Amino acid sequence: MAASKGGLLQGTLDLLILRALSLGPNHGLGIARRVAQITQGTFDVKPGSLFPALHRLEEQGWLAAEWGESENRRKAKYYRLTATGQKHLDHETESWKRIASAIASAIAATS
Amino acid sequence: MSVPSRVSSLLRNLLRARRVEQDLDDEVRSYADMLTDEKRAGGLGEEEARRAALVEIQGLEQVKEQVRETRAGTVLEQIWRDITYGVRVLLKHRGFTAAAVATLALGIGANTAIFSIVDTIVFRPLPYANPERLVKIWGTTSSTQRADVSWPDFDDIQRQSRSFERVAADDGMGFDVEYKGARKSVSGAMVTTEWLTTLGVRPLIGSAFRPEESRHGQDEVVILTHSYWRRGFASDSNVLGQVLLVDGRPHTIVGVLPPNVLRYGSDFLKPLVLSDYPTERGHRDLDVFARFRPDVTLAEAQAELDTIAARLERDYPETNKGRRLVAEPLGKSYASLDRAAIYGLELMLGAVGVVLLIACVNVVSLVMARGVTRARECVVRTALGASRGRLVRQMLVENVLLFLAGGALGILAARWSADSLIALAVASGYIPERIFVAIDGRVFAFGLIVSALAGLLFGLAPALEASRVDVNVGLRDSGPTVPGSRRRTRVRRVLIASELALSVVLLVGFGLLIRSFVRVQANATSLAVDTVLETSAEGGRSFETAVNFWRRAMESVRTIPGVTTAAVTSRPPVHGARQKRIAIAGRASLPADAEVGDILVSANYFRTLGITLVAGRFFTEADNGAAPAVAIVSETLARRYFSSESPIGRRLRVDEEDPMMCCTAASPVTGVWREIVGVVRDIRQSSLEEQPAATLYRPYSQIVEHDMYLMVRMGSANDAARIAKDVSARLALVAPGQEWANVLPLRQVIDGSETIRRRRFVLTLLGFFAAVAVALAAVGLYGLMAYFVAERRREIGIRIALGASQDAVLKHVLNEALRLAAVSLVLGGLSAQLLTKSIAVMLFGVSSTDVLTYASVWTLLAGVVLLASYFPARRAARVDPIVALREP
Repeated sequence: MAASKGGLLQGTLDLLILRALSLGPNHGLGIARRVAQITQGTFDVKPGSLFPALHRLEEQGWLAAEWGESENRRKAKYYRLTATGQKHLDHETESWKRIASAIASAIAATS
Repeated sequence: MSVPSRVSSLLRNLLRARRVEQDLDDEVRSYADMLTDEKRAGGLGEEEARRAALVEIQGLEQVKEQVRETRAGTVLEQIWRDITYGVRVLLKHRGFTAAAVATLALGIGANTAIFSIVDTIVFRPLPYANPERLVKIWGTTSSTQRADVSWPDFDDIQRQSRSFERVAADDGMGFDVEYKGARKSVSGAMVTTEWLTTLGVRPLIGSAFRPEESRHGQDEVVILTHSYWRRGFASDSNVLGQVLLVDGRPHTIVGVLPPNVLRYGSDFLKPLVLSDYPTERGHRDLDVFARFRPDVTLAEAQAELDTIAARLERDYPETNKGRRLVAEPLGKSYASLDRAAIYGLELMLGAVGVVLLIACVNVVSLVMARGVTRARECVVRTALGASRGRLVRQMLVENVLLFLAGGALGILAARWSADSLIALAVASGYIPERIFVAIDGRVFAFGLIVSALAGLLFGLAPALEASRVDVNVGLRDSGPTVPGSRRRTRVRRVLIASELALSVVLLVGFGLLIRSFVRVQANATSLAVDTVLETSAEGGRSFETAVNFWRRAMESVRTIPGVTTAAVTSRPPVHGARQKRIAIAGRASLPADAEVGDILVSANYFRTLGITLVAGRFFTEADNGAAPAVAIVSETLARRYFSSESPIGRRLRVDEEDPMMCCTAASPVTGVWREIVGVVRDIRQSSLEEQPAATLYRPYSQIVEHDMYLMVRMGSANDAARIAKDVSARLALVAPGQEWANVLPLRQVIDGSETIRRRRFVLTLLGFFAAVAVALAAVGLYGLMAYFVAERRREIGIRIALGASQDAVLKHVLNEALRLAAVSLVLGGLSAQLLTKSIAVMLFGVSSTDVLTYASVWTLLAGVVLLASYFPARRAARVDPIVALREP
C-alpha cells in the first residue's frame, strides 16, 4: 500500500515517521526501511512522499536534522525526534488509538 | 504547530536559498547512493544497481520538486523565481514584449490621463469642511429661479436665522490690478469676513480676513486664489506682504487659498466694506451661502428661510413682494462645474474603458498565439515534475509582469500627456480654467490597480490554456501542430471578433456625434457667419453719450473699403439674451413664465446679419427717443403670443427693472406700450443646439445698453483679415483710450461658443480612441489571419496541387476573415444599439439608429477587415505546393 495520497494517509505517514524515529535517529532510506519493518511491510514509503514529509515535519519543529556518516561510510542526513516531536507523537498516538477503537467498534456494530 | 520554527525555516529558506537547495540535492543523492549500495549488496552489478535504484526513486528532480512544494516560503520563493524567469523570457522575446507593452501602455495611459480629469471634476469633493452642510441661498420670484440677494436681505437672514452656523456673502466685479508695473483687468470678489470660515477653509499660506478688515480704510488686503497665485505669481511663497495696486489703491497680499477653492471666475478676494456698498433693498447683487448646524436638516433650514422671506415680504412689500428665499446644496457651483461637462467626461471614461478592453484582448490574443511555442516548454516542465498549478502560476506571473510594464509605461505617458489634455479640456470649456487637476498618488494608484487587475483577469485565461498539456502526446509529437492549438485558435477568433465588435460600438458613437456636430453647425448657416465681424465696447452710461458713441463707431467703419454695412446690438447670436417679462395690450395677464429674450439693435442690424423680414418693416433711424416706442418680434414670439393673428400694429409692454442697471433710455421706459412694427425670422440666440426662442428687438436709439457689440458686414470673406485690422484702427480713433474687444469673424465667435467647443473636444478624443480601437483590431485580425494561413500551409498546398487557382485560395482566406467580420459587425451593431442610448442627450438632429452612420461604420470596418487579411491571403495564394508538401 502506497502512502502518498489523501489527508488521512498523510497524517498516517507523519505518525509512522515519528514512530520510526522514536526508536533512534536515522537517515531517509533507514526511515523507509524501518517503517516497512514496523508495519510488517504494509507501508512501502517512496522517496516522493518521504522527503516532503520529512521536510514538513522538520519545519514544524518535530524533527531535527544534521549531516552524519552512514554505516557504509556515506554522507547522510540524519533525522531525530525533538522534545516537541515526542510530545506530538504521544498526543497523536493517543488520538489514533481512540479513533482506531472507535472505528473498530463501529465496524463490529454494523456487521 | 510551532510558529517560531516555521518562521525560522521560512527565513532560512528565503535567505539561504542556494544553501538549502544544495542541501536537498545532497540528501536526495545520498539516498540514491545508499539505495544503490543496498541493491548491489543484493547481488546486482554496479550499473544495474544504479538503474534499479533510480527507477524505484521515480526521478531525482521530481522528488526535489515535491519537497520544494511543501517548503515554507516556497510560494514566495517560487513567485520570485517566476518573476526573474518571466523577466528573462520577456526580455528574450523583445518583439512580442514591445508590441504587448506598447498596446497596454496606450490603453492604460489613456485611462489614467482621462481619469485624472474625471477624478478632479466628478469624484473628488472640493476641499470644504463638511460640504454636505453648505447651501447656496438664492432669491427667487415667480419668473426667476436663481436671483442674487440684496445687502439688507442678507443682513436679515444673518440676524434672524437660527438654523445656520454662519452665513456669508460675496459680490464679484472687475478690478484694475497693477503689480510690478504690469496692469491688467482681473476679476475679484468682495467677500464678507466670515467667507472662509463658512466654507471651512483655511488659507494655504497666510491668514483669513480679520473682522476689522471690513471697515473702510482697513480693507486694503487681498487673498489670492491658488490659480491666480500660480499664474500671476509663479507660486512664489514670499508673496505675503507684497503690495498690489487694486483700482489704484495699494493692497497687501495676506493669504493664498488652497487649490480649487473658487468663487466663480474670481482671481482674488478682498473684504466687502459695508459703508462703500449699495444698501438699497432693491439692489440685489450678492451671492449668499451658509452652513447649517449639524442638528438641522436642509428641510428645516428651508422652512426657516420661508418664514424669513414671508416676514420681509410683509415688512417691505414695495421691494420684496413675491420674493422667496431658496436653499440648495452648494455642491461644486462656485467652481463652475456643470452637469453637461461631467456627462461628457463620463462618456470619455467609458470610451477609454472600451479602448483598454480592446488593448487587453489584443494582448491576450498575442499571448495565446505565443502559447503555441510555449506549449513544448510546458510539456518538458511537466515531465520534470512541475504541477499544473505551478505552470499556471508561472504563466500568470509572466502575464501580470507584462501588464504591469505596460501600466508603468502608460502612467508615464499619462503624466506627460496630461498637461496638454488638460489644456485641451480647458480650452474646450470642459473644465473651468481655474480648476487644478492634480496628477498625484491617487491617479498613479488608479493606473497601477487597473494594470494589475487587468493582468490578473486577462492573464489567467491564456495561462490556464498554455498549461493544459499532455506529456505523452507532447513529447512524442514533433510536428508543427501542438496539442490544443485548434482550440486556442478558436478562442483567438472569439477574441478578435469581440475586438471588432467593440470597435463598431466606438465608431457608431463617434459617427452619431459627428452627424450631430454637422447638424448643430448647420443651424448657423442662415446667418452671414463668414462675412460678419464682431467687436464690443462700453459705449457710455448716459443715453446721449452711448448713442453718439455708437453712431460715430458705425460711421467710421462703414467707409472702410470692402465693408457694406455696420450695426450695433446688445447681444449677437449665440450670446444669449436678457430675459424680460412682457404684457400684451388687450390681453389678460400672461402666464408667469411669459419671458422673452430682449435685444437692443440699430436699424440695419437685420440686414447686416442677413436676418430676413417676414412681415411689417425693419427699424429706421427715425425710430428715436422722440418717435413712438416700437418693437420687432421674432417668428417664435409671434407664433407663441399671437398664434395665427398678425402681430403688426399690436402693442406690448416690457417689465423693466427699476432702476435699470444695464441700460439707459431716451425717456422713461417703465410702463411704456410699444407698437410691433415687424416680424423677423428666428435665429439661434442662446446656443446652436437650442430651439429658437421668443425674441423681442427694440431700437437702440430708444433704449441702449452700457456694453454693446458692433457688427460689421463685408462684401466677401476674402479680405476679412485686412478689414478686421482696418476696423480696429478706425475704432481706436473714435474715442481715444476706449478699449475694444478683438475684432473677430462671427464664424470664429460661433466656433468658440461653448456648445461647439465642447462637442469638438468630445469628438477629438472619441475620434482618437475610435481610431486606436480600429487599428488595434486590425492588427489583431492580421495576426490571426497570418496564423491561420501558416497553420494551413499544407492544406493550401494540397488544394493548389489539386488545381485550385490563386484566386480561389485568396478568396478562401478572405472568406474566412469576412465570416468572422460579419458576425462581429452584427454583434457590434446590436451592442451599439444598446449603448448609444446612453449618449442620446448628446445627439442632435440624428436618431441613435441612424442608417447612414451604421452603413458607413460597417463599410469602413469591412474595408479594414479586407485590408488586414489581404496580405496573409496573398501569402497563402503564393504557397508553393512542392515546398509546402515536403515540410515535416
